[in-house]
Amino acid sequence: VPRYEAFHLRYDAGQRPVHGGTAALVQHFESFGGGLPMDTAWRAGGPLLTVGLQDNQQVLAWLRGLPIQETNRPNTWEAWGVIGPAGGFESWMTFWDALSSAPDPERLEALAVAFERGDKGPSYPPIPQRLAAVLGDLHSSEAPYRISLRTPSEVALLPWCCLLGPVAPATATVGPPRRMKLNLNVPLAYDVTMTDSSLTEPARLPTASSALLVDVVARAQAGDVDSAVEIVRTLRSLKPAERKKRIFAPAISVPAAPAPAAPVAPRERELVRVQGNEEPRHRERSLFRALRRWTPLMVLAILLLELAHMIPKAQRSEPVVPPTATDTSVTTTDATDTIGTAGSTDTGPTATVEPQLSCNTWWAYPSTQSQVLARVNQKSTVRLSGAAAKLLSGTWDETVARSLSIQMQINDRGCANLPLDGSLGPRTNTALRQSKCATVQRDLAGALQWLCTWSAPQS
Amino acid sequence: MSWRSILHPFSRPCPLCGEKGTYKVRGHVDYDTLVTQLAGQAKWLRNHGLNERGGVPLPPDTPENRRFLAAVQHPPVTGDGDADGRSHTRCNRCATLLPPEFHPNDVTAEVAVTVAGSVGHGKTSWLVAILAPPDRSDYEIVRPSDDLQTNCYEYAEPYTFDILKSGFRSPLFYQLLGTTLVLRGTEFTFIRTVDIKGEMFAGIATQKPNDVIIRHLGSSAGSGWLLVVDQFAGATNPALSSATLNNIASAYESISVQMAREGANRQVRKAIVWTFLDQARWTNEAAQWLQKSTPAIAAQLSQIGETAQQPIASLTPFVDFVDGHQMEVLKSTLEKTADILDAPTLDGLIALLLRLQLLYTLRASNYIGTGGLGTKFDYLMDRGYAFVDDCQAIARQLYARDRRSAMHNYARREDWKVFPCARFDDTSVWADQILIEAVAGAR
Repeated sequence: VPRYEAFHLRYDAGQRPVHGGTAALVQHFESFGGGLPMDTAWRAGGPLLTVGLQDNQQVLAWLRGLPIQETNRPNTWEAWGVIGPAGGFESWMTFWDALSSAPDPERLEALAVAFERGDKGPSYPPIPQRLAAVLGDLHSSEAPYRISLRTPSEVALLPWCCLLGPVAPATATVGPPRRMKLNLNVPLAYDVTMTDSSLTEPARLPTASSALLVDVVARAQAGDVDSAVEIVRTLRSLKPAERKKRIFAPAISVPAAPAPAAPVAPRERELVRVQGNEEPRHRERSLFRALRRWTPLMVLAILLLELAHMIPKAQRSEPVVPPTATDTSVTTTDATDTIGTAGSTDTGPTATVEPQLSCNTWWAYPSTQSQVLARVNQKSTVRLSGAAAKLLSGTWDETVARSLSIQMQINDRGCANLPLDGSLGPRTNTALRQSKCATVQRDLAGALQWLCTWSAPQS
Repeated sequence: MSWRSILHPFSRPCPLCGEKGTYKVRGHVDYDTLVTQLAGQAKWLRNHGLNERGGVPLPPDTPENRRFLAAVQHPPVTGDGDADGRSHTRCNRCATLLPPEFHPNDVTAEVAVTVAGSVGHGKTSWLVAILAPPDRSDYEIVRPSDDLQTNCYEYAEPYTFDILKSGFRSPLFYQLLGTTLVLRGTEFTFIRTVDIKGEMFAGIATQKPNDVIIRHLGSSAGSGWLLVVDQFAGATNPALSSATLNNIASAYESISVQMAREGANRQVRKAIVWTFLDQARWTNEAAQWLQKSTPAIAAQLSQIGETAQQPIASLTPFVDFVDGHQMEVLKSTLEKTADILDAPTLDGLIALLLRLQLLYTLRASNYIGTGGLGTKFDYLMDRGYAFVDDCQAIARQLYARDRRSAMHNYARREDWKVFPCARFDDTSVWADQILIEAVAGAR
């Protein structure tokens, strides 16, 4: 079994070992050292974790291109780190500070000893802002995985991607940032490229990320790295297509609230915690805002219904505000109506609401309002259009509670797997089982939009 | 005799692995495809000094190189590339791209050159200057001339000449380069070159390059050169290991002896390519030494020396000095006397030497022969060769007397030549001496 050995290689009238290392190791590094960036911004270099000189070896190093001013020659480099047994650098991220600091023989030797003992390092690297988005890209793509760095400070993405990316840390390999594509006989699991445009552009905000990975990153940020790793481990066992399906929700047409800049409070994060199919985080947040509004409104609604029972039916059927030209027609028949689309195949009679329901105008019809309130009060069945109707075809209060807590899970076939305890009824359960994840998600979103906007006039 | 030798009796072995068999590839591929294919060739990687578990190193990350790489059209390693009507030859065993000059052919002469040197002495820059068709040949001895053309094989795998011109440290142990010298459109001289990484002689490589050199030089009936590139000792470049250069010289000596013993090639010659002469400065000590040792021409030489660092036009008043055969005085004085020259005197004389080289170039470029305006090549063939020869002899004397020079002991030997050269106005001065020797050898 190869031992851990520290090394420092540097150009000094030739690339040569300065501390530890061998001529063969120098030649091994030539493959990686050529073409490294030498410009000021990127000269700090980055980590390199790759195969060693033999099958059972691995090399962990910090590698940087040396500027011409230092050596009077272009295409020179410096590398320091530890060579050791393959798979023996699983916790290398925790030694980030020691690895990225300027090479010092004593510290490098101490690093080798720490790996030999199987110690963990003192700290993980800082978490870059884009980590969740980059992890989303990695988990939703197939090998070879590419990590694109926009600024030199984003080099800390590499250890986190090794830890939380689609490749197990024990076998992950990663290269230092470079512009020109490296072609290796034993390719790196994570190939790292730089984008120069970032040097002149301000850093962009993270793109919409998988809520699952946002949660993973949030856990890591909170210091709970082990649970983050555990979640990712389950993802790694999936095939790429399934993994992508698992971590990303389909496109949802629900108008989204602007993403809040502030981090999610722990309680809220716990509430939105999901283990499968999810929506983008900002959408979930808007749901919780709706939930907070909903509870007092429900109380108010019950009171109103009590009042409504005391008002004669004839009076309640009079519209307060006439419908506008853009309003959709609403036909009311009786208090046990269901609300559905005109083309719905459901057989529920009487009330019809166009699919593009405008809650404000719809709410303006007291009769409809009273019908819904009555249904809420009486826990009667409400039927919406299409699959959303199926989803919400349970009793009203259960559905609301169920929708707002979003305890959905995705089974291995990518289907929604609600806790089918019979509360939704056999027909709904069957529909959910047969439906694809995307369909259910879309319908759920539509239903939730309806619920959220329904409460808007109240506020 | 191996079975490969029997199969390919008239082939020349690949200098890197000794294999005689070759295969053809056609067309071209882009650079990305090339390095991907090379990375899959374990023997190519190993023979070029790279780890089989790594890949092909890239040139420096500069906008220019990125542009070059994007435009590169390189012979493929396997299969055929996009059609361009050209075919290229690779070694059967290690897949090394062999320039056409590495194959036996019906040519006037063949010259095999091995170049090594310590790190940063200007080896690759010098090679590119002499082998590639010159862009700026203002200060050369024989070019530009319609009489002498150099057609360079544009690939020095895994790079190209365009990329090599940018001057950088190549991590490869060996690079094969080829140039065809065409004299008056009828006489063809193949120059095949192996550029050896300096660190190979400094204990970095696990395998010594002697076998490669012997295969390269010994497989030719033509002449062979063992060249060491060493820079002027007073150059402001970082201090470099003289041990490396001595290792190279020692290896060359043993190779010469071995080859002479085996009778493989009697025309193997050794030379020091003395670079960075532009770093030398004219000194009063040099003027005093000239006054004492060569009083007849001291005044004129001092005047020439005083023009050091000035534009070449400042040498115009002294052009007649070249035809005056007065250089022999200086040469014979240095050869006959055993004066120990101190560093300032040596520096001044070396600065003077570079001015004399430039003076020659100025004279040659204004040559009017019997048939009218002639070329530098015409002048060399007419009266110039003696001056060039004298300059090289003076350079050898100065190099040998300069105890700062890493190989001064070798330069004292008759079988070592010294080719003085430099950069002036960003142009190579007299980097083309090996071409003259190649033409002379061919004739």
